[in-house]
Amino acid sequence: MRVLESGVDMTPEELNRLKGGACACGCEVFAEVVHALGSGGGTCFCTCKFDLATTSGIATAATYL
Amino acid sequence: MSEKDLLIVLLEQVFGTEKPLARMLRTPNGYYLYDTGTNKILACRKEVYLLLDNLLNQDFHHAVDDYISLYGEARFIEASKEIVEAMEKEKILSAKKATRFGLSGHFKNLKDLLKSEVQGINLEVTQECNLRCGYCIYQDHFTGKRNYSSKEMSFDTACKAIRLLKDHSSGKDTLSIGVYGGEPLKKFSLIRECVRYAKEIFPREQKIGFNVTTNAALLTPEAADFLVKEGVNVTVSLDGPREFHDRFRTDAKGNGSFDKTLRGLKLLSEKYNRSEKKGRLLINVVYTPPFSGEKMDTINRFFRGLEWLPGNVHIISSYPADNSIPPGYTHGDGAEEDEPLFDWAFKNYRTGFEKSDALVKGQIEERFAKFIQRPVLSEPVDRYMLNGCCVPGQKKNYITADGYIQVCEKMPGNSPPLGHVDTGFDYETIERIYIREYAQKSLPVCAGCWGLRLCDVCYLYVFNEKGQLDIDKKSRHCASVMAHVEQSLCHFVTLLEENPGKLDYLKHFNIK
Repeated sequence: MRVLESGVDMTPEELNRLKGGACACGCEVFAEVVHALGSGGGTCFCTCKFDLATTSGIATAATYL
Repeated sequence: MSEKDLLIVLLEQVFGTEKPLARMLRTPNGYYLYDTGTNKILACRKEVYLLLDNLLNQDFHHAVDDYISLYGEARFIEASKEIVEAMEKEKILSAKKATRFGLSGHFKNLKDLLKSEVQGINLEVTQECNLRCGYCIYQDHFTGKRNYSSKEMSFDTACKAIRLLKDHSSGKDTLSIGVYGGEPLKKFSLIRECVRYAKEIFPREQKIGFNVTTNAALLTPEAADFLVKEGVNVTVSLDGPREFHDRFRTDAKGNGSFDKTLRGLKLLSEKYNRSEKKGRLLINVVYTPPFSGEKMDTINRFFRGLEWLPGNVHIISSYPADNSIPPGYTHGDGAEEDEPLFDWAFKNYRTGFEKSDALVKGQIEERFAKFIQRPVLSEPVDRYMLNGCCVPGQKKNYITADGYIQVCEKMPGNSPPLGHVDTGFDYETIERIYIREYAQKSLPVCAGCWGLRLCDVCYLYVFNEKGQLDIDKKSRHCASVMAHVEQSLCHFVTLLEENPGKLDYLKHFNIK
């Protein structure tokens, strides 16, 4: 079976760290957001203005966590 | 233990009692699995598809026996191994019934969110209209919405609404202020005053997008100049050529409005074409019976022939609201479709993609953009959005002529208001009804649905004519929503396979 669209490769440790974590705005959607980057960027499910489409965005969010 | 028995044990752990949330998809060219937990779509061989289809939809042992009797043990083993491998590698087929929604702004601190993150308001500047369109939800035969009246919004109420937006939007740098009716151009002076007032009180850093929804029949050169000069986005309601438009869009005496609307649209278009402002022209087409693909072709040719339309015009098409067409219009009149609107659009989009006609793109792009922008998870996460619901108070905020705040202009008139411009948001009502009660009543209905991450159902389809949260109404609507999601997902997959990369431009599409 073949995945039709690629996602971001993450180690289980990274995923576990992110699960239950929060977006930069404080909501609980960060885990989902990071994966969205794999499908070409995308928007956060929450309503923060966090820049999801840049690597600096990831760094900022990681700092927040 | 034999290889076959081992595989049966492994599969039984997944499919034995409670089935995982997933959907099998079949397109003209291939076989696919959509996995709810991870949001992934996986292509598979026909044999794998058939086994998964059995396992998801039948009693476990019956599913296995049935497959082996039809295709033999060797094929069963081969297909089962592929499924087990994919489960391990892609972490699919592990999401079971949802136990909570828990994802999205609904579950954040609502007060914080509505304190500074409100995106827009939509002002009902008048309940009066120059037309009496056959399918209008404000007609007497349509229950659940107000009727036409001479009620108008006062400048004081409009100012309070705009001030409410200002006071609750400090965290947003782009905002939306819309005007709606009735026919808003009947209150053009108020529109002008609202624009002036908003520009006066909002800081320069916040960009305000003004929007007007109009039938354009009353548009004067002076009004057109103002709208274009201010960069207002104008949505004009035009159903296509005269024979279709005038059938429903008439005045109280039954006179068609085509000529007047077309004149207004042309006036606006010519000014937009000459303007450097960033306002945008949109056309709203209501697709009325008799339905046929041929009719859509005619409507499409009509818009293509309006060479004076701006190049970036956006055309959206939709069916009339449920129960909005009085029986006399549809009796024996082609209410059955030979080609649903989305199928018609897909057929045309498939050959043109980004270069398709505006009417085609307006029907397809937002749906496909939602698919292509969806988060694809490497592992399942057991949290879900609150269906397709917006965060009440955050997005549209329909302000009625007398100052009540409603979720949006389409909501039943009796639905609980989110507040009033005099008193602000009613957080208690929003949290109690629109979030907690909605989630609590919806979870039993939604928990086992494969489409949890793709659902479009919103408050509009849940509140009944009495303004009560009605889960039975929602359930009735769910079937058609999910059928449409499944069909469009199949179309989406077809394009991904046929033309990889052709949909990439939708990764940056602005989903409303």
